[in-house]
Amino acid sequence: MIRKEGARVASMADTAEGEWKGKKVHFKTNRLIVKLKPVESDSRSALESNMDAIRAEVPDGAMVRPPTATGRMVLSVAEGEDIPKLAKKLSKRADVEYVEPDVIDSAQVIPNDTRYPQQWGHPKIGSPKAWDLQTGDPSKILIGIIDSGISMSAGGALDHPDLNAPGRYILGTDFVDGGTPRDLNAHGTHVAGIAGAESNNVTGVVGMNWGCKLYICRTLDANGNGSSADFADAVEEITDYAVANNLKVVINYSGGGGHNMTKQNACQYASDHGMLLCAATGNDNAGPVIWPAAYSTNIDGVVAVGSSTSSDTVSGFSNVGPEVTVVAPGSSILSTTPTYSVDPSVALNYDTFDGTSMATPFVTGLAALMWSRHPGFSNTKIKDCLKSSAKKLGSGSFNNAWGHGRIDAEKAVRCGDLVFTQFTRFTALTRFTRFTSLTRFTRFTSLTRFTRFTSLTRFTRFTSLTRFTRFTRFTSLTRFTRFTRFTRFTAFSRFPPFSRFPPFEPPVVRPDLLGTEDEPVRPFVRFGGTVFDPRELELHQFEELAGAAPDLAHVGISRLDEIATTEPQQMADALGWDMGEANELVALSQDLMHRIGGAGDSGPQEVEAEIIEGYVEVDEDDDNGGDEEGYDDSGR
Amino acid sequence: MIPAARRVRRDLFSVVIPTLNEGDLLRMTVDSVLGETRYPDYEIVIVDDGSTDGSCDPYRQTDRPIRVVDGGGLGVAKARNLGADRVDGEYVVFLDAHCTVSPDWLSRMAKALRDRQVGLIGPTFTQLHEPEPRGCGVAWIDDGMDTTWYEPMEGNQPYDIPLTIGACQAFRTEAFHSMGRYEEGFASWGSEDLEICLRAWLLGYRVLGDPVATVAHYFRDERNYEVDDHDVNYNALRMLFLHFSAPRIRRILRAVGGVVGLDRALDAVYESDVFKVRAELEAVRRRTDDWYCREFAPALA
Repeated sequence: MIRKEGARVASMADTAEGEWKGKKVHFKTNRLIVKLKPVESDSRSALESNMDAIRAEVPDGAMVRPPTATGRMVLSVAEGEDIPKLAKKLSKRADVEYVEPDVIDSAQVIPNDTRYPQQWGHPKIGSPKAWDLQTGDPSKILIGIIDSGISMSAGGALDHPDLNAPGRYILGTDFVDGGTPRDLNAHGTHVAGIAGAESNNVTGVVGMNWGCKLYICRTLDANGNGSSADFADAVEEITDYAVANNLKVVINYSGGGGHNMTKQNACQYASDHGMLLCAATGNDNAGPVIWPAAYSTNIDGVVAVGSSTSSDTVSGFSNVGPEVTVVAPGSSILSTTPTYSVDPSVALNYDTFDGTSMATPFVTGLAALMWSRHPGFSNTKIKDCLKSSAKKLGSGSFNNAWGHGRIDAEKAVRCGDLVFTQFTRFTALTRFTRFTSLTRFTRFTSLTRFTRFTSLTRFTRFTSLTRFTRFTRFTSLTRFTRFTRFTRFTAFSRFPPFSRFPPFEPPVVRPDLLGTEDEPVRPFVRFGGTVFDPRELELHQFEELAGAAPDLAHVGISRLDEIATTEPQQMADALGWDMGEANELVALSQDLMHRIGGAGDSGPQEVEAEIIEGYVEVDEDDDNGGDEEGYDDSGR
Repeated sequence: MIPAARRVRRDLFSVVIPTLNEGDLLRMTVDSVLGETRYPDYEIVIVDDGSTDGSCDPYRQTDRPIRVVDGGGLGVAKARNLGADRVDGEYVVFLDAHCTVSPDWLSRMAKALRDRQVGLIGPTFTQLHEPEPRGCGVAWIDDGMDTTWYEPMEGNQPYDIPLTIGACQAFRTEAFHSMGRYEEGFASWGSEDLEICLRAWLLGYRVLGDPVATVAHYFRDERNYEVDDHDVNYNALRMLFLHFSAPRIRRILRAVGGVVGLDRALDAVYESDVFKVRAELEAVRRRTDDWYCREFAPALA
């Protein structure tokens, strides 16, 4: 049964799901179909007595439809009866051919929006079957759109015929220039239309979600650029709105760029409040996933969305990486655009765009449908359902290009449905009883133990955080980035991947080959109980010895320790000095060495500091070369 | 030495367990690895470094993926290297013979090790039979080189740590060899595990700790074999002389001054090949010890 007229599926209170002949079916709970066997003679009374006998066995048992020529009649059944059980029981009677539940064929809601045939994405992902189950519940779930705003007149009134239903589009803050979030880029209007255009309204396009309200914040300007501080404020505004109104929200952010703590904390904020945030992986032609999408692997509430094509391949522009959660239609996506000109290349009212930006609102709208069906689910359960229900686009269950697969709207919406299949349950039980040897129990037990560790770890971590602030390098940063606006990032252009440590070619260590190299081996000088680098002791570093250095060089002495360990007599002979001078020189040298070694009081400490600094400079020039730039952050 | 272009089997994780008279603890360790590990493809190589308690014998002939290699008193660094020479895995993990593991220990570490920047990774450690975690990674906290558990950041992803202890260290086999393996100049026991972490950082790798993968380690008060204080001192000094600048070593020596036998250990270090190895490492390292201390050991910076 296909409702071309597009009437919404009426709520069918008198139907139920159950098992019939080994299959799950939808049937009417208040009636039964009975097919009578033909009676021997053409005797009306014999037939009537059979009918009466059957009706006597059916609670209520009123004749809804009298027997047809083929002997099929429909009886009403009192509420609360187990229809399949009753049908089975009656089927055993000699005077019937069969008795069965009145099975309902499911209606596939095909929207009547005029441009629906151009929206390849919805048939591809099975949206009609999903809409049959759920079109979005505004009393439970909200959609947040953080983008470049929405089409509206200069006066601030919603003006797009597909985006102006009263009460459905809530106008949040315009973080770019205040006032109403009027779209000056077209991106936001397009994204909003994909997630939640007015649907089944004989106008334009259909949205993924038909019922949930959209909360619109504007952070991207006319050029599609936006700041992370604005993004964070918008996430918090929408999250707070949802919390205050007792709603769950799926936030759509079809932008991104580099990493910073502001963005990460904002995503964490939404996630910690049980919300979801769907973000685009970026369009850098299989480049790395951009932020905030890239938080998907360490923040529960973040879903990273890549783009797929009408032939179920990954779009060439879609970024790749372990962070990709799912892919959704993103190539040639028709949706709404502003009713006024913002860009000569964008058609008025409706146009086709490409990008992971377009794929993201499909997932946003779908997640809101899923949550509408299962409002009790956590954000992680919805995310898990998105992953597990997605259609794998190749071998394996995960791929850096297509993540956990291309979204499947019907399966996703059904995910988590309670299925009462008694027999399966028995089978599973049987299997456990049969195989539950000690090993299996042991494994469960120890699993539990480890899970407990993990949660404990978290507590310990919090406690000790305070104690060792020294090592938590990002604490101070976190505190301040919150209020700065320094990262203006472009939403749609290419960004270098964030990494504290750039890629490198690992060196190969071959200690076994030593000695054949030109590099001289330079042991440290031992003096008393301590050690010195020979370079620390070179005479030119000591002003006190500047006068003596030329003479000393003449006899081959170039280091402090060579003086300090020489007999004064020998020194006097070699240099032709008198003993007094030689004694003084050796004593001074020994004193200097003690001072470098840090044995003295605070005076020598200063000497030490200077010399160490000099040494460090020499050291770094020596072994850095040009290619160490970037590894050594001494300039930080 | 690097075994000549040894072929590794992709995705295979080789678990090397060096052991010396570990008795029932070895059996507990092997049973835990076999019983818990969910990673599909792994092998166990037990390096028997001269046990006299017969604890390795049950594994010499078994249909399980276990091999025994005889070391015969090499000391822990050489014993681990010997095990690494005999493995076929793309990844290798060195596990003490008195540990139990969590089901995901290999899969989580293998995932992190796919990144070529990552030199090695360690799990989160707990004391055996105690649920309270000890920590994930350690750091030097003062100029006497005292260590403490490193403070983990939040989250469930592996993160950079200064050092991780030798009870469980996992590498890509290729990276393990190219970073020079455990330094064989070390005497019987001590510091070789921290040294390889320090070396990995200095050579340009990252060292990670995984806050989820868990290994329960038996931190015992007394060892089941003799550990020579001289060797411990010698090893600690050797690590300093391999990587640290003279002013930094002076500072540390001042801080630990008065340790019995330190002079003798210093003599032994000077007689060793430590300066040759140091020269080799200095020639190829990508980061300085100053960098490391600024980053991870402020007390030594």
